[in-house]
Amino acid sequence: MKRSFKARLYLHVILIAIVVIWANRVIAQYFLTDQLEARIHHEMGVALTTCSEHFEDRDAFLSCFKAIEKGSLFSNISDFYVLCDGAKRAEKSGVTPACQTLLTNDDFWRSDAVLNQGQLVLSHGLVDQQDWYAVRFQNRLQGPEIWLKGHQIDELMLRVWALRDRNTIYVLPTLLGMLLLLTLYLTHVMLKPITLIQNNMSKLTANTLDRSTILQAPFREFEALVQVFDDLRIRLSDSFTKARRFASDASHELRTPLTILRGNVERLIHDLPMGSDAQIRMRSMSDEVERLIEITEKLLLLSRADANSLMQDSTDLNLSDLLTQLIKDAHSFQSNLKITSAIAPNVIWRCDKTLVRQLVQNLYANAVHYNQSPGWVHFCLTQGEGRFQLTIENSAKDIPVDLSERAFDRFYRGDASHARQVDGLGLGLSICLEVAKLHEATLSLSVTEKQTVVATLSGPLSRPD
Amino acid sequence: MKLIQKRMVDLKILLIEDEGKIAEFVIKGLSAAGYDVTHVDDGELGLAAVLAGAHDLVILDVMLPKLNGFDLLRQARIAGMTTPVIILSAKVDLPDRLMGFEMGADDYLPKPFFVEEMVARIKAVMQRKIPEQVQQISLSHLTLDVVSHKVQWFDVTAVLSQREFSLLAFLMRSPGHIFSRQQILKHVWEINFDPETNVVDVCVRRIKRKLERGSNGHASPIESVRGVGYRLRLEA
Repeated sequence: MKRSFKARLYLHVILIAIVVIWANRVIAQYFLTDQLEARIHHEMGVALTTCSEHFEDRDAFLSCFKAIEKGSLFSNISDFYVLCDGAKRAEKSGVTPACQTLLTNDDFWRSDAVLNQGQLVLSHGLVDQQDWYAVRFQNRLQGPEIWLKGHQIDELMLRVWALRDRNTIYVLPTLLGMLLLLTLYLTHVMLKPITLIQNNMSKLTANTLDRSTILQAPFREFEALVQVFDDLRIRLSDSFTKARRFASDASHELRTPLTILRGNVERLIHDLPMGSDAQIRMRSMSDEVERLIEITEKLLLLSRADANSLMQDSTDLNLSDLLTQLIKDAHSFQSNLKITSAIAPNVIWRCDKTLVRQLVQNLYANAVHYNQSPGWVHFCLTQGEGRFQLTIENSAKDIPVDLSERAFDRFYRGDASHARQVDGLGLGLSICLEVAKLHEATLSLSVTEKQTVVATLSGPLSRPD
Repeated sequence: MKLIQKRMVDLKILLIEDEGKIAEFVIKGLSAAGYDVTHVDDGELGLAAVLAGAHDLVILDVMLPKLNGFDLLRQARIAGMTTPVIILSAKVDLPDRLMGFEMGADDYLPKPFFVEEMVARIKAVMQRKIPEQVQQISLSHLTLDVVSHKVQWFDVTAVLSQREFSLLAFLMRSPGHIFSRQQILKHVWEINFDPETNVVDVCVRRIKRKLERGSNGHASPIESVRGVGYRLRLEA
C-alpha cells in the first residue's frame, strides 16, 4: 500500500514541534541565566544601598530588603546573603570566619568586577574553589559588602526550570493537538486545488479529450501544473485523432486495391474455360484474396477499437433466436461433434447486430476448431437480475497451460503444432473482447477441472423503454 | 416477373467512379448482366450527367476529384433529382453510411464488393421503385416462389427448406457466376469463418436430387465446377 501523504505530514509536524520546543528550551535557558545573574546583582546592589544602616542586625536588614523587593524572585534567597563589614577588614576580632576569607580576597574583585551606577562594584568569581556573587561600594572604606554563593542561585534556577518543564508537559498534548488540527486544516486547504484538478481530469475520456475548456487551474499558482497536464491532454488527443485517421485512411487505401483485385479475379474465373486448371488455380487465388479481405477487416476493426472509434449501430437483438439458428446450423455443419444447448427464450440485448453476430460466431468457431474428435459443444444462455449470461463449453485436448491468461492476446494461437492445422489468425478472441467491451459486457475464457474450455459472455439486458 | 426482368435489362446506369480499374470491371460486370453503363470519372462531370436525367440509376463513389460524392448527391437532390442512387465507398464506418443515407442515397455498398452483389442491389433498389410485390424469381425453365419456397424446374415441382431456398435464390441472382463454397457459406449461412464442413455440398446435392427426380432427363440447373465452386447454368 502507498504511504499516506497526510500521515507523513503529521509526522513531520510533530518532529518539527519537538525540535522547536527543545531548541527554545536551550536558547531560553542560556539567555535567561545571564539575565537572572544581572538581576541578582541588581537586587544585591539595592539591598546594599537601601538597607546598609541595618547591616549590624541581620534580621532588621532582611526585613528592610524584603519590604522593598516585595514579590521579587530573589528575595527568597536573601536569607542566604552573607553580610560582611569591610570597615573591619583590618581587624581580626568581631569578624565572622566566613567574612574573614572573603574580605581579604582581592583577586576576586580584580577578576570580574563591574562598576555599576558610579558607586557600586559587582563581581562574580571563585573564592576557595567556591562560586560567589558579591557587591560592595566603590569606596571600600564605606565597608559593607553582600556575598552570595553561586549554588544558591543555581538551585533556585533548577527549581524554576523544573517548574517550566512540568508546565510544558501539561501544555504539550494541547499544543500538539492544536498543531495537528492546524495541519489537518492546512492539508485540506492545500490539497483542495489538487482535488479539483483531479476531479476535472477524471472526467476526461478518450472521447472528451479534445474539449479544451475542461481543464482549468483553480488558483494562479497551479496554472503551470495544469498547463503540463493540458499539454499532455493535447498530445494524447492528437495521437487519438491520428490513430482514428489512420484506421479510416488505411481502410480506404486498402479497400480500393482489394476491390480491384477481387473484381478482376472473379471476372477471370468467369472468363476462363470451365473446369480448367487455370480456373482452379484462380479460385484458390480468389480464396486468398478473400482471406486478405478478412484479415484487413479484422485489423481495421481492432485499430478502430484501439482508437476508440468503434461505432455501434444499436438495436434490440434477440440473442436467443440468433443462438437457436446458429445451433441449428451447427448440427448440420459438424457431424462429429455432439451439439447440446439450454437456451432461455427471448433474451434481448441492445447491441450492434453485425458485431455481436461476429462475436458469437467467433466463440463458436473457437469451440469447433480447438475441439477433439469425437467431441461436444454445449451452449447455455440464461438471464436474471438485469443481465444475461452465455456460456459456450467444449471438450478439448492438449489445452495450453497459458490459455486462460493469453487467449485474448492478438495473434495468440495456442499450441503451435496444433495451431498450424487450424486456419486462423488468432485475432478472433481479441475482436470478441473489444466487441464485448464496447457493449459493456464481460468476456472470459477458463479451463475447467474436467479439461473443458468455457467461454463466458455476460452483458446487460435491454431495458424496455 | 418477366416484365420486371425486361425492364431491368433495359436500365441505363450512370457510374461515377474515379478509380479506372474499379470502373473497368464494374462496367464489364454490369454490361454482362445486360445493363447499359455510362462512366464519368469526376464529381463535376458526374453532377452534370446526373442532372441531365438520362439515367435510371446512379452508382456513385464518395471520394471523387473536384466534388465529392456526398456533396454531389446533396446538390442533385436539392435540384430535384429523383433517380435512385447507390453509394459505393471504402468508408464503411457507421457515420459515413448514415451520412450517405441522409444525403439521399437509396443504398450503400461498401468496398470491396462483388459485381454480383452490386447487380443484386440494383435489382433490389429498382424493385422498391416499382410498387409490384415480387412473388417469384424466374429464369427460363426455373421458377422460385419467394413466399412458399416452391421451385419449379420443367415439370418438376418441389418444396425447398429455408437454406436450400436461400442457396438457390443466391445462385439465381447471378446466373453464370461461379461461387466458391466459402462465398456461398458467407451469403447463405451468414457465417464469416470456416466451419470445416461440407454443408454446402450436402445442400446442393439435396436441391439437385429434388429437381432431377422425374424431370424427364433434364439435368439440374446447378452446375458443379470441379475445384472452383457452383453456378447456375445460363442456359437453365
